[in-house]
Amino acid sequence: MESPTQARWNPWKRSATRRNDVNEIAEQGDGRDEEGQFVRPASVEALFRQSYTSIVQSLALAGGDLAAAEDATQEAFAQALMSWSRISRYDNPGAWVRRVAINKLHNAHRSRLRGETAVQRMNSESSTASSTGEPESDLVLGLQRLPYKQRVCAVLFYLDDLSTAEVADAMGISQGSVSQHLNRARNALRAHLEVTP
Amino acid sequence: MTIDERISAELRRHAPVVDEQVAWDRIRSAAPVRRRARAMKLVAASLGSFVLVLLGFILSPYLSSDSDPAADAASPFLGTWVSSDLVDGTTATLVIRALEDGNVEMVMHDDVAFYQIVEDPLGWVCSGGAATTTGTGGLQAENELVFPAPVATCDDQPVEGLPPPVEVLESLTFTHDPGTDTLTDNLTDNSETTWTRIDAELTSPWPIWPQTNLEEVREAQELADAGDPDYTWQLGGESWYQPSQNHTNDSELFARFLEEELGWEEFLWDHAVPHSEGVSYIRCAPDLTNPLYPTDPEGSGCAPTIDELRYETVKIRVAQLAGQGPSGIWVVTGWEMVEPFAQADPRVVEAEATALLEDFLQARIDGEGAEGLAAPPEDHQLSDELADREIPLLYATSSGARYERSEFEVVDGPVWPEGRMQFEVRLFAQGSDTVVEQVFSLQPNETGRLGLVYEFEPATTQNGMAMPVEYAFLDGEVTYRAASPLEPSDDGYREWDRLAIVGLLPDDDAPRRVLLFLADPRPVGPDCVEGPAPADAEALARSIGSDPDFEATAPVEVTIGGTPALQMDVVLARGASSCSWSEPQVSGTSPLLLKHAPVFLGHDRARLYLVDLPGGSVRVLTIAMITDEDSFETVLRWAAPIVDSIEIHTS
Repeated sequence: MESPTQARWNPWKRSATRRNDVNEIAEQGDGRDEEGQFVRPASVEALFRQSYTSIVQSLALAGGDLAAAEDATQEAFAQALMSWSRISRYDNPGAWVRRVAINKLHNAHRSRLRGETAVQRMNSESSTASSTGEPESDLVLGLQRLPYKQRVCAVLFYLDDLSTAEVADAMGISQGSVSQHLNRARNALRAHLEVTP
Repeated sequence: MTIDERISAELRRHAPVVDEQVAWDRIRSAAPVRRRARAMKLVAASLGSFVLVLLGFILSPYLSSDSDPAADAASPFLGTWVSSDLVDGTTATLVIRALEDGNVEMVMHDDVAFYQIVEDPLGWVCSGGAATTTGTGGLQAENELVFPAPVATCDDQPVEGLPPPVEVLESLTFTHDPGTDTLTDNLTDNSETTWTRIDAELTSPWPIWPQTNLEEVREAQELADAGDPDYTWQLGGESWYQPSQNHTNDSELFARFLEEELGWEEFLWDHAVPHSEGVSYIRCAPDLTNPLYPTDPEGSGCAPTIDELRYETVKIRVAQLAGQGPSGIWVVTGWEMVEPFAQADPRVVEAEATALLEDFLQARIDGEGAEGLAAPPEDHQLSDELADREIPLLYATSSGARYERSEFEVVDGPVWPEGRMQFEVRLFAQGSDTVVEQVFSLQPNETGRLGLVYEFEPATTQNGMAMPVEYAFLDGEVTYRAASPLEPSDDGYREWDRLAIVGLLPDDDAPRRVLLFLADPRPVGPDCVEGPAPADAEALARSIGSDPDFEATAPVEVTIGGTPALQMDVVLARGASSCSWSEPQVSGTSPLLLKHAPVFLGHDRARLYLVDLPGGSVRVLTIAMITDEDSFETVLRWAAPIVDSIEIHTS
């Protein structure tokens, strides 16, 4: 089905005097695509280009399931696209998307408990992403054996370079808990580094 | 390189490759579908409010209903309302007033609106501009107000000289909830917008501080936009979107209002009594230590102002009237003194707690009547797994010895302001040879009355040994007992059909999965494709035994929970293919069995118990202990009591 971004040109223009974020979005490239159509969530795409890959990579490493990480992240971006007038006002929309994606991944994981989604997943098309092709490292395998929160803390901290405060915000837990999870994850992963110098 | 740098580098090296373009196409195609789904009739997004506020003022003299019976019936709808849950999360304003003919008239305004035309899903009206919707309607049912054909008008003129676009909507309906005095509408199909009444007393005059009218607010917004420090202090942050929930005690707007307008010198955000429609502050007596909580970290610095217990309490409302988001300034739009907040008297709390504990412990010694004096927590993180939510060893030790005496000590509290306390209880039996220790909390229940609550953590101990707790798996078809430090995991491996028992064992530096329960596990075949779940334990054992990727011992007949079972030890064969972590895995889909890298590594060994569950909701229960060779015996030793405690409850 055709999406609004592919719809016919809507001739109504916006007030030039109104001050709001939508205006700012519209002013980026005039807010229209090459065919002159109104493309409101242009900044979502910018946000997507900026952060999609890193979010998927971190969730894939944390959850051990690339397809699930893609699903969760794409759903989070779709939600951002729908609610961009609100999300765009946040200080860090990327942090919002990351947090939503983490929650969705966790919820999706829990909702699979009775196998319904598993069946759907088995019948769905395969993931569009591929692994690096690198042999699995002991460290990555060791990461998968950590408790869930330790895994998420570790990838956000080590892969995404988030501060402990940012990790806490993304996970909705206290900074002290993050430090505790990170410390345990670091101790556990250290052993795997020693066999992979 | 440091350890941290090496971990980072290794994770980066193994991060998966991601196809952005395909993903973006999916997102773009998915979002409009969802948007349409939510907006069969119309989607109204955020709203601002100058026009509405002005309308509110203009219409306010007419808001009171006259004596007309029809208007009287519609009176619950009359007034000014603010939406709280529109699609993009911001607020809109709605004014409903009575007409002389008995009908009612509505004016709804939003500053950033997206109207979607029903007949043309690709037709969008206003596209983010301001819109005003007006209509005339009447009661359709007791609590249902219908506007048959309201007209939505985009406030902006699309092209100079042309009239603004207009869309006629279908049967806009508002439903009034008398219990909460809120309205819901049918603007969106899949989600309801809730409208909250603006208290006229609180909003008149509106705005009130520090600007005194809307024009001043607009001018202040422009100056704040320009960075004028005289106005930028009115800016909030991201958390200010819900000031009543994401509040901090150092918000300058509130602080200055309290100091400059109300003359309060010291105050505290009343987090204990959050209000959905405003932020509450309590007033603290200046330069006084709270005499009832002199050492409490938070409460010691806030002494009551009314009497020994009560504080002057104010509820404050704030709003952004000239711009939304972090760049919009906030103003106080209303305030009122509310019922004074009262701290608990720690002397009373301690006396009540002592009496309660003494009664409770005496009842346990007497052997009856203790059940009603303490309870497990209403919500516990392991509530779904606990097979038995009763207080353990209530009247006797594990050997059945009755208690002879007791003692308790305060571990924590009373904590300001509710007076929460925590106690460690000891019960003695067999001439004090046996000591049972438990921790109880004194917490307010739903009615505010303090009651004793048994905390499952820390665990009950008997002579220093943690007592096992009974848990359930497969909705109670399988029960087992585990003692601290082992318990069902909260690490994401706790589902209906799979469960890990996890704990931090002595000498370990991280929690370890000691045992896995898997319901109808599916063997993993070539190319990491999972096969169907075997029909019974014997078939599963054959599948494992014939898999060239495994070296497995021959199945040995054992008994688990009184049910015949098969025991096997399994390791990965040299050169065996291990499934990639990025493939569907145990925690991601239905339970796979072995050959899966995160669970089963090349240097690991597994002890499996395969149990038929005739009459159960699944066919085969697999109990797996998987760990590296060095830890194998240790894990078996810790898992053994759990395995021994398993009971099967299928027919």
